[in-house]
Amino acid sequence: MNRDEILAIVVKHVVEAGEGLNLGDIDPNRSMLDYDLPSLDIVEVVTRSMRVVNVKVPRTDLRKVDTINDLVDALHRAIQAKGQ
Amino acid sequence: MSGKRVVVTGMAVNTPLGDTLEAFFSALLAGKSAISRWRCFADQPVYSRIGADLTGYDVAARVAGLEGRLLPEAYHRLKRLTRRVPWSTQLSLLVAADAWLDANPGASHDPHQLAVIVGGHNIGSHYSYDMGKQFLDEPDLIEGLYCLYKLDSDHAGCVSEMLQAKGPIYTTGAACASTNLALRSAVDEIRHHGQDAVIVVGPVMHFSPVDVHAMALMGAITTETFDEEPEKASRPFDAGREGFVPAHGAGALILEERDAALRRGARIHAEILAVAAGSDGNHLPQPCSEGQARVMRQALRESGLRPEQIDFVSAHATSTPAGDISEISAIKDVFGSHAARLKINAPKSMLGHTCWSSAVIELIAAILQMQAGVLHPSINVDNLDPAIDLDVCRESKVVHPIEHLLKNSFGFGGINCVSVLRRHDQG
Repeated sequence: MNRDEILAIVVKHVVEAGEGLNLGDIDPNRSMLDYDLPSLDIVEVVTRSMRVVNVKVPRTDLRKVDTINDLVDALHRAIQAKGQ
Repeated sequence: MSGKRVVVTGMAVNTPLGDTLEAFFSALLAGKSAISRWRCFADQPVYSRIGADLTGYDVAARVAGLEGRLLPEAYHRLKRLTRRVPWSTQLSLLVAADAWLDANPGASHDPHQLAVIVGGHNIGSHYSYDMGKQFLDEPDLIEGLYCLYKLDSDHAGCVSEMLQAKGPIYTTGAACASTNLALRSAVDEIRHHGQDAVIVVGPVMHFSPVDVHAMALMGAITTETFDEEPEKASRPFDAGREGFVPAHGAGALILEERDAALRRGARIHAEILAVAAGSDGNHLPQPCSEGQARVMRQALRESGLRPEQIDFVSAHATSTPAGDISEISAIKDVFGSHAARLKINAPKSMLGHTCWSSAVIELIAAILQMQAGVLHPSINVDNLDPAIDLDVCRESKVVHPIEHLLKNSFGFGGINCVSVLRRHDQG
């Protein structure tokens, strides 16, 4: 799975979690907090994205995630580490 | 005792026989069975091969069909919630929305006097089973909000959020009598706790493979005999019955205080006269005729009716050898000579046993029959059990005017609950 595919998965979950968001609204350089996602919704976006790509990102790494791109990179690194 | 009268102003169902009242009732009158081979357990090592299966129900399409019917804010919340919550919770939201629309309260209600009661427990059992499997495989990949979504009370929470109901919300757990107990609590909320209206939800029991396998090991459900003829498997009152058939199904009722409902010009489906409950002092699933009769008498007493005023009994009748006989014995005990004039039928012969939601789904069927003055048949009674000598509507639908009906529901653990309803004359 390449990085663009991962980005599409994460953005889809952000849109589903947010209020009145569309795919074109999402700037991956921004934080999910910028889209008014409460912390519980962010937890869902992260875990659902991990479930779809079937890798886990260690909690210590998740704490460093700020932007949507950060999450995508963390997932991408985890996939590569897993050898997929 | 409060003199408030409680009426049903909204109803909705979702079963394999239909997700509208019209389709549901039409199928029941035609004697159609909801039971097929399980799709959801096709590749599972379980003895249960047949059931009434809503697997694959198109939730997104049903949600989309509510756009423009629900108020925009409620629709938006429904859409957002159903994208996220587990399957059985999605179906609870949909059936509650349908019942709400059937009651047609508009925006006039007071949200602080609107309660939500969900009947059942361990509702999302399959969801928890899936998360358990995921945990064994990779603990960090369970759903982020599993500890919320697994809660039975989240069904009530989601319905409350969708409709912004801000009165009390909770669940009633009483095995297969759960939704009759929910009805009892709903009546109390209106009579004694000042609620204007209550949404009673009978959720889909989302059985896990472990659940249906355990039921088979216990000997409670039919296995093997009817695997090639699933529509024949649920056969209450027939001599060849051998256990119940697990089933998916959801139902919801809107209850309101009668005078307030009349003031707003609501269409009233029926009046609830009494809901009585008791137990047998025995946690095992061993039906007790005496306990069942005691609660039927209590319901009649609370309703102020004499036994001979009941025209129709919607039986619990699960198709187990002991349960059906026990219930018929209790009916004969309570109604005496009037029992021979009673009409009794078994909705589970077509619907299977939807467990927690069975009382509310079957009560909706009973109300529809009372309104139409036509009773659905009890199907599959090819050889009436010789011990059953009452009219169980075994041939086909039958025209039968109904002024008062009695609905039985009995749950594992000696839980008995009986409701009595009256036809409502709008005048």
